[in-house]
Amino acid sequence: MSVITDYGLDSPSRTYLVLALSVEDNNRRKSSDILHIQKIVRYFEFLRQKKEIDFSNFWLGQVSYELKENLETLVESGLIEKVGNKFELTNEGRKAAEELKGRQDPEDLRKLAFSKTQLNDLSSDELTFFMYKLLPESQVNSTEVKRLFKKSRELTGSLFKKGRISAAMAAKWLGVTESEFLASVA
Amino acid sequence: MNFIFDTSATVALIETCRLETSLLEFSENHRLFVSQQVKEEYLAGERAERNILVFERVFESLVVSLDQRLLPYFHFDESCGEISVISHAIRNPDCCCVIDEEYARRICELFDVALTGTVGILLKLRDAGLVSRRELRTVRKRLQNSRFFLSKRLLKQIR
Repeated sequence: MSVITDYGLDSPSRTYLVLALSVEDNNRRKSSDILHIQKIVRYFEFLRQKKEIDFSNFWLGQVSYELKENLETLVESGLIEKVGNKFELTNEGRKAAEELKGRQDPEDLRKLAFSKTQLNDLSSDELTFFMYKLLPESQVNSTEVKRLFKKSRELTGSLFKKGRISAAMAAKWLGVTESEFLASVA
Repeated sequence: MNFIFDTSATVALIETCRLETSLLEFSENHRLFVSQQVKEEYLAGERAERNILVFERVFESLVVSLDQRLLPYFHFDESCGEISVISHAIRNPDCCCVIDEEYARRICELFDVALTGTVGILLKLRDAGLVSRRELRTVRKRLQNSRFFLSKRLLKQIR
């Protein structure tokens, strides 16, 4: 029997949770908290332009109960453990991730790795702001959007300096020209 | 090695650093490309320092078809000039991207393409004896005083 069938890892939410925790972020860290892992998987879906996991607009933007429940199941089954407020793979989880990687489209793995390096080391404000800007529909039921949008200039500048958005994206988000934006961060 | 330049690098080298003579000499041993899209971006706008004749003498313009795999990373905005630059470098491993913006540089790394930036080109000009250390100091000041975004760490390398 393979680890994949043993743990029901053929479902997209379980597959992407395990794979997302198997790749490193910019600080070479693999663990993620619940908010970051939700957004990493959502951004991955955006990059793929495929909707395999059910997300709904909630207080902190789009989150998925499906992911949350499957994360809890994977913790109970011993593939993932919670250390502090972060989730990480156990030895069995790492074995499962290796098996899963062999079955994935390399382009999807590239997108997942990018998603992790894009988001995992951002502050909660930077992360939530980035996702609100990326997916404007996710602002609908937000309790944070007003507060964060008051800090638009600061958060956009910080995301640009960290290399998470281009000057063109930043300018578009702030409604200024690219050269005006660059002058503001120079 | 050949090089394909993003718009900000062409603006920095020609308009801010004013290194057209050195670049012309450099182009005798290296092919310096821009995509049609980058050329159009360079030509756009009303910058007083824009120098179309020099631009056309230094850079060879190419029509580049976009590598569709890059589009998601630019949030499906095909108008980003960097997509054409990276697309060309993916198809031509002997060609190095000249890109300064950190975001597009991260995409280059993701696709494992050769990469340098304006500072890298300045150092190559210095190493080839086409720019003196004194000229480089002037160039560094010009870059510091411009709207061109370079980290302090990169600026320090210009010496």
